[in-house]
Amino acid sequence: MMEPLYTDTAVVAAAVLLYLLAGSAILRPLWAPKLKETLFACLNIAACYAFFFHGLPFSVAKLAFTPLATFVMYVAFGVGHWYLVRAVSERDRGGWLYAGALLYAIVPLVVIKLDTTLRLVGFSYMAFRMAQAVLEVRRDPMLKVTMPAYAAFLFFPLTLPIGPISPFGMFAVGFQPDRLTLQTVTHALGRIAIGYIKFRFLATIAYQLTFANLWTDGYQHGVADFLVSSFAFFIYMYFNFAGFCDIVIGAAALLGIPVKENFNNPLLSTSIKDFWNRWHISLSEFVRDLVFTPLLLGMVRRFGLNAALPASILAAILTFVIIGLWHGFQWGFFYFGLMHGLGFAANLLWSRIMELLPKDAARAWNSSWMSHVLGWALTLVFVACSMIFVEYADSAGRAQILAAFSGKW
Amino acid sequence: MSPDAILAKLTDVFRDVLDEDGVVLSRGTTAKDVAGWDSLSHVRLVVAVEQEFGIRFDTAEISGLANVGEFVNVIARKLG
Repeated sequence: MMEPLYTDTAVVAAAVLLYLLAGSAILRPLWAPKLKETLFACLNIAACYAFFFHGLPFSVAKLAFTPLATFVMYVAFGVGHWYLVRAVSERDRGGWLYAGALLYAIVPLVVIKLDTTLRLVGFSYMAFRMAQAVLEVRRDPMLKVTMPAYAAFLFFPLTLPIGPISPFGMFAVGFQPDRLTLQTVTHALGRIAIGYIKFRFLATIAYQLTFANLWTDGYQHGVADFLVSSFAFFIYMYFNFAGFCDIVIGAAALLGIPVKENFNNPLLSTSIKDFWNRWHISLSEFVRDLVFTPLLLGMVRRFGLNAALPASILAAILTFVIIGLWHGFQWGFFYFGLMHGLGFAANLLWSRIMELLPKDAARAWNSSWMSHVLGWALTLVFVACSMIFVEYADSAGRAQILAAFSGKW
Repeated sequence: MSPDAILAKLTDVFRDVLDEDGVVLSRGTTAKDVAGWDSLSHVRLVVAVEQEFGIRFDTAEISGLANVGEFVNVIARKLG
């Protein structure tokens, strides 16, 4: 069996550089779009295989086929979806077609998640990328999606492993003739450098203080340590995820391909609602469009505008539980989602209470620095605590932590 | 109905739903420009618009209505 490419950073960097050079050679020149799309699709598919499947059994844990066979099926699955996307794009109506195109992507996701030992690299993101494309063509009948462009989009190696879940419309901008300026290039390189610092160094430092490291020293730990470790894991997740996204977005910018942002200073969040506008933005916006908005719309249409508040609360809890479970079908992820759903609901109730106060008083409070600081502190503590369910999605780990908790300050 | 009439009526709906008499809409206005126009009030706005104009939006159309110009265009299209 051949050695995987991930043996050291230099090799990975060289491989990514090679990919970027090849991608630029295809996308920059003024060739016919059809040719560019086909070549880029071939490059992307080959790159995905080389980076994520060749000699890497961990990409396809427990699936009964060889990595190559699994990869071929993965590609066939993605390309097959294009027929449904095209059909949705060309027909104005088609409730069944539309639902079918969405289920084609979502059902396999649910099936894979049901078995917690199954793993297929980037599939969580792939399923949502495919579903989002269906929403996109439904919303914009003028959007042209050719098969090679769609294949290139689905198997774009930079976003395959961990997203961001970037829409087809943005990706397709890469096929348009455009000159890269020095400013764009330096900006992109800076982005990559910052991302690398976050991902490689800052995340690793934060990780030293998480439960996994701080609490496994055989001693008892109190509330102060609890807060420290909760924050440490939250910050670790941020640097790890946002850092990698920075690298992805910067590298894609070198190809002239815009990628949707995933983070916007989440540590500045002043409410749960604000948090999800700043954290994993591509995911929260997508689930909002797929689940929250249609659900809320259906309920308000059925039960009237006065039902908007309870309907929002219900829709929010369901949406966040789905976001939680998307990470994996484990109780920890469910609690994470539920916590955020309830936090969001509390947000909504608070807003409604504020509406009952005289306008001027409410406005004064909302613009006061105290409300911002309080909101910020509460949100940060709440989110940090919720992350424990992500660090320990299974109860055994959480039990271990509880055992080491002294209950004192 | 003319686009200007649609815009005027739309402004009334916004003022009513957002409970904000000072709302002024132009074709370039987006959700960012209007206080209180977020994803939650968006749904209430959409339903109120449906009731006021006697039209119905597709679920897929809703997320594309984040700018007033688009809103007016889609309403005009649906009114025939």
